[in-house]
Amino acid sequence: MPEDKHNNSSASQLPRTAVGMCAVVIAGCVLSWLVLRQPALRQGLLTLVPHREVAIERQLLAPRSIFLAGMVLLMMTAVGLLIPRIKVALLTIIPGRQRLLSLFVIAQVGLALAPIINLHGYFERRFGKPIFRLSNDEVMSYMVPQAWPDSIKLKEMFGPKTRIALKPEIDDKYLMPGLAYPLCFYDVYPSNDAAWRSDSEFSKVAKEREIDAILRYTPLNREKPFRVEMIK
Amino acid sequence: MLVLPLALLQTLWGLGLMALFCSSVLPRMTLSERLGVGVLVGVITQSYIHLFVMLVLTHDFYASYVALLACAAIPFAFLGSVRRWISPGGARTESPRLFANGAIRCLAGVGVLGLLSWVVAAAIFLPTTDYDALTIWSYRDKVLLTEHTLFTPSLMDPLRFNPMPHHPYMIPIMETSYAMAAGAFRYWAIHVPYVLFYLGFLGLAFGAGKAAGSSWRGGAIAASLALMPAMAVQPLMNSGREPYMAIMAFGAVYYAGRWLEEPEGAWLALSVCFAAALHQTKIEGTPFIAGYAMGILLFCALTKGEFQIRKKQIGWAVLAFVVIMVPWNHVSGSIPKSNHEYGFTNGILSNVHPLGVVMAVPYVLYLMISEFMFRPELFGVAPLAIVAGVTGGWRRENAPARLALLAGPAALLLTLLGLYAVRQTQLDVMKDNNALLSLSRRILVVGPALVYACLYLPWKRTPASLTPSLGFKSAADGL
Repeated sequence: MPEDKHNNSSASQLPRTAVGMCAVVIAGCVLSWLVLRQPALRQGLLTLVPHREVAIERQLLAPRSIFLAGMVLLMMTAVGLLIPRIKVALLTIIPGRQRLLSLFVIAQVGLALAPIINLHGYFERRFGKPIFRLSNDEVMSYMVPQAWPDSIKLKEMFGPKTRIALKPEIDDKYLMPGLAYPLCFYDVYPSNDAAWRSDSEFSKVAKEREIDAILRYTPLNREKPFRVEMIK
Repeated sequence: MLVLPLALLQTLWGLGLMALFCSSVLPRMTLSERLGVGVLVGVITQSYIHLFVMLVLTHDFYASYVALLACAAIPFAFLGSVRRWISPGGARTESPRLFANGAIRCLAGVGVLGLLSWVVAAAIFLPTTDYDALTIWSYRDKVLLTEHTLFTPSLMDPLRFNPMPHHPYMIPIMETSYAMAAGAFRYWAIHVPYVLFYLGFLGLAFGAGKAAGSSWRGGAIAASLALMPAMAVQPLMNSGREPYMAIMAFGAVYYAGRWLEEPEGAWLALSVCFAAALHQTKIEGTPFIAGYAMGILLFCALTKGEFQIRKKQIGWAVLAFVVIMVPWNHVSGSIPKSNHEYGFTNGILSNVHPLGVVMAVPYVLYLMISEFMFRPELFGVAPLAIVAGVTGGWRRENAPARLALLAGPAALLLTLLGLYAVRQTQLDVMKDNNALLSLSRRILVVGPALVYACLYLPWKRTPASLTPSLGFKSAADGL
């Protein structure tokens, strides 16, 4: 079939054994690492995907992780050569039709393991310990540095199911309500905190919803993020 | 601590359902696929039954319901249905090896184990950190766990900070079941369903590869899917629901492909199960299902006589969809509108300059293509296989089926293209760069399904040509 002929002709250019293909991929990883270490080139490659903004994503395939992928493949190949059955398989000539597929699998394995290695490394670098020794609190305090500890403080300040009219002083208004449940947060607020009684619209809603307190939340003010006024 | 028993019982339930309702096709699945789809069907159907009961009957959701339905799996074992699943009977041909060389098989196995170990480790040791998962989905889990219903002001009062109140509830029900089994809200407990889904996905990936036959395409399907880093990495970084949806979309397209080849009702039932679950997960399911349905109709229109063979099965599938979709659509319609519906675009049909949208299309198209082609940390070298797969192997006899399989992913991609093009024209959204951040996870929804649809070459089989075998294609079939 035409498709098979094409496969065979391109496959004939490839190494014929699995160990040869591993060597090609490993060499490719090392070469890529050497090239990607150039900051300008690396930056240029990153801008190919302009929406890759989150820091952890940008580091997933950092040059060192490509190098690591190559080293992992090298170690696996070396271990394989020590095991008689696998050594035979590594040195066996692969049929022409399977060579491109085999190279594809080797490259895919390398690119699958590299982000995993880098993710483990990411947590080691950030927290100084492996992920199985991290607590949820440590991770959340890093990932959500204001809302996470503030939600814990709020739950200590108020009893569960306390109804609070919330004024968040930032664009994000959902993290605190999401994290501080079962506190109940309402999207209603008086025009003047101190004179809330004279705000008839707010008073009406506060009465209907049985609101207990009003809270102005300024997460970037780490000394005094909360300004609370009890109304019941 | 009943999390593990719940997982085992839900798996047993799924296997029992498969043995009862899909016994005709079990011999044509590999063992890994049977186990994988059993896990997925078990978790999905149990979650959906709880959702249906809550929406239609009792309006509440308690741990006792979870326990009762899970224990309903036990009779399946005693009835011998699971034994029938393990040994489905019928003559079976030897399944072809995906990779001819033992060293390549070992290497692939190590890669799969590496990804799986990360999925399990991240699920157990790391909390949810994605914004949407914290503000929308974990919040719903906590409300369901505490208040035992979605009919509560915490989820329905328009004055409450409750983002996106019209998102469906199947995944929150799924996660809350496991939180109930753990006795309290724990991040590791609500991650267990994804670990189960990932295991099911691996089974399906290898099954799909083997069903593709002994050509390079089968190996490429299995390697692209089972070694796709995004499915292991995205749940932590960037996405609450989309990895689930990716697996459901893949299941829907894969079993649709098998149904297009063999008009067995069981294949269509499995496909519909995944497609309906997609609809009950998030809004992106809707355009995917619309494309999926149109693909099936297109196949029937382009192939003579197929509609006559399959019309009864299609009728049952439509009925099943209606029964599944109506309860949530009805309840969703009764949830009051609030200021916390995040308009993905600020009015898709108003407040938009058509010329600006048209001019934004090339850039957005570039972003979407770059998401696949230049992100090896998410998709590996699978995009190269996609390009090779979709550009070759077209023949008159398999073109309608291939187009049908591509319809679902294409519909969702076109929808995303349109939405993001509109979004690009809305300057106030662009300023905080939020316009683009969600693109990765939305593309992920279609990733595995697109891999399969581009690589698989369906071929038509009449009922007379069906043999009780795994039905694997051989190289002699010229594929």
